[in-house]
Amino acid sequence: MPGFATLTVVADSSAVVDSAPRRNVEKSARLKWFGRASIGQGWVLRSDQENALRLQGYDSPFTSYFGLDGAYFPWPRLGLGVWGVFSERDDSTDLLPEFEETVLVGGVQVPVAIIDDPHVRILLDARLGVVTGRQQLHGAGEFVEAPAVGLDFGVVFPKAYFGLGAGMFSAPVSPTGELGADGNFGRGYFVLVAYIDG
Amino acid sequence: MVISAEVTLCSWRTSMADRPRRVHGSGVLVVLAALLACGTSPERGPLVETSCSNDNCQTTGSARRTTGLTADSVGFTIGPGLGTLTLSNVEVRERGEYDVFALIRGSGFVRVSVDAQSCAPLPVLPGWPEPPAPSCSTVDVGVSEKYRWVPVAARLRGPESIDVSIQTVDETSEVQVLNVGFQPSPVDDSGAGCSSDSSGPSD
Repeated sequence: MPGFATLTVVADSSAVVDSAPRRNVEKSARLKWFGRASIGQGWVLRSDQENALRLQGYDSPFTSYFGLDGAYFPWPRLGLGVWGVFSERDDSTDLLPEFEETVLVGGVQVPVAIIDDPHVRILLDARLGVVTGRQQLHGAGEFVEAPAVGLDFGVVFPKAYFGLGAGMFSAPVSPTGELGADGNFGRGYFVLVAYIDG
Repeated sequence: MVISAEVTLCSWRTSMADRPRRVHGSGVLVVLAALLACGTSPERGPLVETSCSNDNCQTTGSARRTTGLTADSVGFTIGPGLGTLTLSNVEVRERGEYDVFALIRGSGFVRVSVDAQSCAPLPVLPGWPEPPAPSCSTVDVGVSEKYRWVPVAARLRGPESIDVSIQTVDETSEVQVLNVGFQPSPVDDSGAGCSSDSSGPSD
């Protein structure tokens, strides 16, 4: 009889010992923060200004795209963070002066970890920010500022420090030239991501 | 005479659709020639940007020089009220026949005159077909709210220098001139694949 009692105690103890680390592992695997650096291909959003530029002969919509963002997760799956983007495009022909567009954006974001797994994470970020940018034909364009709103979707593989992303932001701006039309410094983009988290 | 902004211009899509099964041997050359003549990036002269940055453009009346699409580019406004913009001795490097267009928006009508050496009709040579007559007459053009390339002269022959004059025809018309350009004249519809659905040198 004493043997039975001993066996019962041992079984209960193992259950306690096993469950505590599992909870700890789950808790530690939950996303607490992340940082990303993105590089990829962007393209401009259509606008009256863009249409006029295309009529002039500047018909390439593609831009470079570099992004940095990060966030802290005070709540499970829901975070707060910051984001920034630098994007640039050049377009020229033999007969036209070179067109240059430079766009800088910075702001805050609210990321949601749709899938929060240590091996793969899917993040959806709602973004607000401020854009400053300029378009120029002779190297003397004027910067103009405007609010920006966007959405970013990313799939990241934390163990590989790698991911993919896509998204867009919109930033309607007023023209700087008197004959210009309403423009948009927003971008759509596909990016490759270098990723770390904790 | 009032002309519409709709004009017979080349469309590479049409030319490709017209010739899907004959791309062999000389057919390739025909398609390439059609693409060159009707390409998506036709030769255009940034005449306002190049001519007017050197003060070769004169304004009178309500016409005035201003900034274009960007703060560092050139554009012109004419009206409300009578006014004239003149681009003088503009060099067209295009070899062969070319058409002249103006990239404008606004309201009302403008009168556009193009003066070029090739406006004089060519002599008809014995045994040769009569060459198409160039269109150098002054035209009144309806202006739309959005920018459009509007044809103002056709079948001139370059290279040469031309004068282009744009003026409002009444007190209420108002026009913004973003550019004046040119491109090769479309090849005859005998197989070059030109269509009538384009609205300018390039959309």
